[in-house]
Amino acid sequence: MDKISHAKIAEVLADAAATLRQVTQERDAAVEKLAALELRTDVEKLASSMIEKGISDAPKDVLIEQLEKAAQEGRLDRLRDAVNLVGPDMWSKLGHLTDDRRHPGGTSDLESFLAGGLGLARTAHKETDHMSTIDRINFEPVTDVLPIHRRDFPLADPTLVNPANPLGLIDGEWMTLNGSYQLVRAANIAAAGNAATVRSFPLWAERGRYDVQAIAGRKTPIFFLGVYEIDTRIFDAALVVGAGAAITTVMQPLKVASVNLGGKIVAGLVGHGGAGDANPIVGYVTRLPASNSNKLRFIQGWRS
Amino acid sequence: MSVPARVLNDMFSQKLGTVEGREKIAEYGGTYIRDRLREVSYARKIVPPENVTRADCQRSVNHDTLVKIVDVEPKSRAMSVTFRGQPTARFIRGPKAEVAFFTISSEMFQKTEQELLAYEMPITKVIEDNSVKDIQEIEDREFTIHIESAVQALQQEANGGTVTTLNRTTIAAGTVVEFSVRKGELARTALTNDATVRPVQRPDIVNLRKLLNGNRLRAERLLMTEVDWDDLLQWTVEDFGDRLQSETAVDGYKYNTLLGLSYVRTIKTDILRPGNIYVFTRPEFFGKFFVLNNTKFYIDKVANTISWQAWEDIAMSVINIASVRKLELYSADATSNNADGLLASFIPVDEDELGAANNRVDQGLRFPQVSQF
Repeated sequence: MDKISHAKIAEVLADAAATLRQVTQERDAAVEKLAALELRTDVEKLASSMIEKGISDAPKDVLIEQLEKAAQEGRLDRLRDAVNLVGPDMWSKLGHLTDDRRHPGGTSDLESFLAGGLGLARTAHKETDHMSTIDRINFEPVTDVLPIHRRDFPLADPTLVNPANPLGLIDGEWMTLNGSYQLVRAANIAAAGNAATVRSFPLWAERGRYDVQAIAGRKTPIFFLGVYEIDTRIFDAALVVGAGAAITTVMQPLKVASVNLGGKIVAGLVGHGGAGDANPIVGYVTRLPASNSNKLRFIQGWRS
Repeated sequence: MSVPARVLNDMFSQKLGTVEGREKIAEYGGTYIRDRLREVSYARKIVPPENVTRADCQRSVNHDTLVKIVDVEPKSRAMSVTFRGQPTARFIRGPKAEVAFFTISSEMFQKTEQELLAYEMPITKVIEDNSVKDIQEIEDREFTIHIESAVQALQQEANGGTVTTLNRTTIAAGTVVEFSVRKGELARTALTNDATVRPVQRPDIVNLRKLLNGNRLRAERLLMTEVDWDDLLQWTVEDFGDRLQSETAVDGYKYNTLLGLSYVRTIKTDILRPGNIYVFTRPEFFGKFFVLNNTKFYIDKVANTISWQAWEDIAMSVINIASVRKLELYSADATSNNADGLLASFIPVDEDELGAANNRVDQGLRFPQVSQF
């Protein structure tokens, strides 16, 4: 092992203090510069956001200077929160007009025109005004969910929870139990117009939910027992199945059948025909789609 | 000082009458459960759980559930080149996998205050034992189904993408490749395709190791039932050598490793069915087990009815399906083909059937049978 002389050790000890002080000074200076740089970046982002949202029409450099002063006074975070609450052009526009009508199958008028079908799509659309469309969220409780028994059951066909499966399940579809205590669709979706003939329950899981896919057996929640009121998009108000009737009146009974919503066939709600209809009733209309943003509101109510 | 169970029950009911008492009971219950879970779940011994927070997870724009995205090592290689040559390029891309969170909950236990008086068993003990047992079982059941899916997926790939029956008959006929699942030595020579679990042999463990070690992975840990473990004690002096044979005859097998592999034994034979032995790599090659919310405990008293429930939010995933292999000690088919109609004997029982009682007291089967009147 090499030995270090006392002279060298003394030299190192003598230099160490000065070197440490120098390194510390350099570090402090660097930290200060970094903080200033970060502040400048934050302020520039905030200034850009304010100009973009129409909050300020001051020149950007002036605005940055004002914000830097605010930052020194510790007000930058509050200003940022306030800016985040403001939507674009909130001050200059009181509102805007748009046609938010949904197009079944995702086909717009422009797409129809380009495909050579201008007019046809709109006509078809008008003919199906009473038909709902599948959205991201299709089934929303409007009453307390706590009293409802929300039960998870495994699916007989686990592939139906794959959001990429064209036959995959949509929230608000109606399910029933098979002999293995597993969920199956209550109505045959081979074609539209097949009525459910057994007790059925609404599915309460949006397409592609991670928790559903995470569980072996793909357990999926349904509203199993209890009384509830729901807004649903999974219905066809015009479709008459068997001895059923179109959905036209409040308190009209409802039944389950396969319905075609924008090209996808699902197990949804249709109108029940009353005494002459042998299919089971699953609920009653409380609000018609025309007065409920195209969603059907109903209360649960079972009668076989 | 031990408190009599009846007194504990009374105190429990009294404490539940106040908000503070309910909070304390929930807090103490939650603490106890969390500690016990680490002890008892075999899945946690194979893939140690990692605690994560909301900040580690990713949301979805389509629904309100969470995943954690895990990076997987990208491919790379080296090559020999001349002084004038240059290497081929690789525009790197690392695969990523989503590990999704879900909840495991105990049942919502309910009991009226008055009916509690009919018990001398401490209700707090029931809470602890039942909740822990229920949650641990489901964790292990999910894990077992996932590892079985992993070995079967790899087995299917090795057999040309087709689920191929693996039983004594197809092995003898040479129509199946044993890539990630292998039959035991005694199962291969059985006379019929049946569900009888044959004793594990020393070559079985060696061959199981080879399924991993032959693919640039290293076997690290075995998972087996106590029932299969007991068959080790039947190994002869040729397997053990005279020293171990002497020890085993007196104390059983007391070492922490078997043929160089650490092992996890389970008594949950309704989840990991006897005859199925899995071998795993180290966890970093295998998969992930995340805990988003450790066990939470809810307890409430409405009028005279007490309700309590425990749950946890976890995620588990076998990300590298090549890091687990399986040994089957029975001769029948355990693939989804279910060629011998015995698949139900080899896979975990349904959740509803878990936790079946061993005793037959409710059926009146106790001896001597004494009747009160």
